[in-house]
Amino acid sequence: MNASVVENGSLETNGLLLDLENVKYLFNVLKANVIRSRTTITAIFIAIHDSVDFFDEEADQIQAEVTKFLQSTIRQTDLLFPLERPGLAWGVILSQSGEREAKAFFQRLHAQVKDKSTFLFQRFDLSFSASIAEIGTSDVSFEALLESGYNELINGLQKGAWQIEYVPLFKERKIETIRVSILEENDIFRHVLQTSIEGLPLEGFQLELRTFQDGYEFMESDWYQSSHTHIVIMNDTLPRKNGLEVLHALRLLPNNKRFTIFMMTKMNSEDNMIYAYEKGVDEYLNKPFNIRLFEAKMKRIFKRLWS
Amino acid sequence: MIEISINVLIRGIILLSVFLLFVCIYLSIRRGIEVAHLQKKNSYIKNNQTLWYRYFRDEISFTRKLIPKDKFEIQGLEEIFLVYIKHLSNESIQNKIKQFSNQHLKQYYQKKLKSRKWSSRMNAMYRIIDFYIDSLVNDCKALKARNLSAEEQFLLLKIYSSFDSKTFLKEFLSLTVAFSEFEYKKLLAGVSSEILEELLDCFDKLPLNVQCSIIDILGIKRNSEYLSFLESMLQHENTEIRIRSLKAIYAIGIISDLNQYMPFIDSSIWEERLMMAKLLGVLPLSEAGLHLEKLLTDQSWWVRSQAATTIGKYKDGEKLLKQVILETKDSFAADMANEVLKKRVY
Repeated sequence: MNASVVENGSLETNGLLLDLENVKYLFNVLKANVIRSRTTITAIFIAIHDSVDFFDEEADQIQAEVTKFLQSTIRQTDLLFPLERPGLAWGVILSQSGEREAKAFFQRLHAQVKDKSTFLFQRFDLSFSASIAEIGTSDVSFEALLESGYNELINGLQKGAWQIEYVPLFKERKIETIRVSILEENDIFRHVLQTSIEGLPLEGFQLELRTFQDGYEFMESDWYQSSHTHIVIMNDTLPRKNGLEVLHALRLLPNNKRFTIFMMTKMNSEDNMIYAYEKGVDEYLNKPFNIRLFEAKMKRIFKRLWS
Repeated sequence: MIEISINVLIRGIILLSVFLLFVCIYLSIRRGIEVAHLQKKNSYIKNNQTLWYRYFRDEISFTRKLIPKDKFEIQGLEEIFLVYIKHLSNESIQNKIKQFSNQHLKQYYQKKLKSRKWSSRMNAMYRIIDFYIDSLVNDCKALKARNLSAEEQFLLLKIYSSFDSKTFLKEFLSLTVAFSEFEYKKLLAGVSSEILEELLDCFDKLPLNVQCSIIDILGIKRNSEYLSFLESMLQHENTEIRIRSLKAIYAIGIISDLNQYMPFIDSSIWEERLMMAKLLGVLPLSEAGLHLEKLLTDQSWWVRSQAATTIGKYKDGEKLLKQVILETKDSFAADMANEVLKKRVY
């Protein structure tokens, strides 16, 4: 069931196809959330191969049946709308999805047609082509998306049935700044951690890194008060203000989810670890730890930020 | 009244001033030398820490630039190595430190081992352990001829436990110095399973605090292979051994046959009943419930408290505690159940 905007401007799900104006409005809402939620949306444009071969009545029936079929396969959070060209064509905007999910969506359609799973597919020998546009930026207009999607869809149709063409134009994400803080008393260890983090390959991010000798110096700075996503790597024992005190203070802040907190310890006490996890630590590192393991965990954090 | 002429006074003041001046100059020179040494050490760290980082990560091959030229640079290198050993380590880094130290630092520590200064010898032994300098084991053995302090004997045993298990066993079993339990545990925590097996074979001949330390170490290791040994210790005549064994079994977290533990539920020693109140928590509530309810009415506050806490940790523990409050005639048991429910210690 797809969402639509009714006359009074409110949203409801009614199973109807959305018109382009409504889709544009909803698309603008979805794309504005792409950066904030760090989740891509993807548009897939689907057209019937050789649709000119059908009579008008057949074409109307096919359009209605395919629409019904597509409506039954999309999620409540996806948008389905008809395309004016080329021939019998539809657009689907898959929220919280990437190219891979869109490709799987099209492959499912292929499998259903091949298995002749519905009366429609038994009656008509249909084949489709598609173009897929992943959107990782909010700097894209609905018109530009439609235009690029259409052009690639034409390419796909020309190449043959069940072809997928990709639109790479809107994929590139805006570089996001992430703050990293290292709280460690030992100069050499601090330097090693800093060198290790600075050497990590980053895709779509740039790092602002600062080091602190203790928790007090960190809490006295206004460095942690920005709205940036912030990774904090700290020792549990620190002079003046220890790791647990810093953890407690950070987790009391509004919007504290922006902090990913690594705690390092040499005490190897499970009780302490349980307590720290309960208080909001995201990763625990028992010293001595393998620097490559630490880097793998950091990379995983960066990967997880964009889903 | 003593009379001093102005002349004598002036001479005295001049003499003292000259003396003070010499002291000041001497102290300044000493301070200058110390600062220069510190700078040498720090500049080694500054110039080489990134090189060491890259060498440890296999990004560059070994370069002679890394070899320290004097003792101050060695002090800088020690700081770098210690950071990697204490904070960031893996087998490859350990091997590189071992190889480098055996090749380039051996002579430095060999000389320190022969020093007449106790602190120099101690530092050398610490570094031999930290940097895995096994080529100096024979030099360490030669120290035995000296009149060694207890601290040095302790470190020697640590060295043997790392590099020469036969000598460790021989020296450990013929120790003339008595260490504290804490020190025994520090010694035994790092020994290989072969040494531990040998010590278990001659367990009865060992002093009580060594026996207790070994049992604690078996608990820390949490290896179920030691469970049968620990269970055999439950029949031991010494109370401390029995209590420690129960504690170690709790750490391992396995009860193979509840029947051999039953006598401890009715033991006259409250520490044994306390350990049972803890240990029963490894069984399902259906098996442990009745025994825990009994311990909840124990005469000792500690046992009652532990029994209530253990019950509270079960999924249906809250239900059982509420049932006890309603049904028991023992007001102490009801109080304890109430206390745990209020604190919600789960």
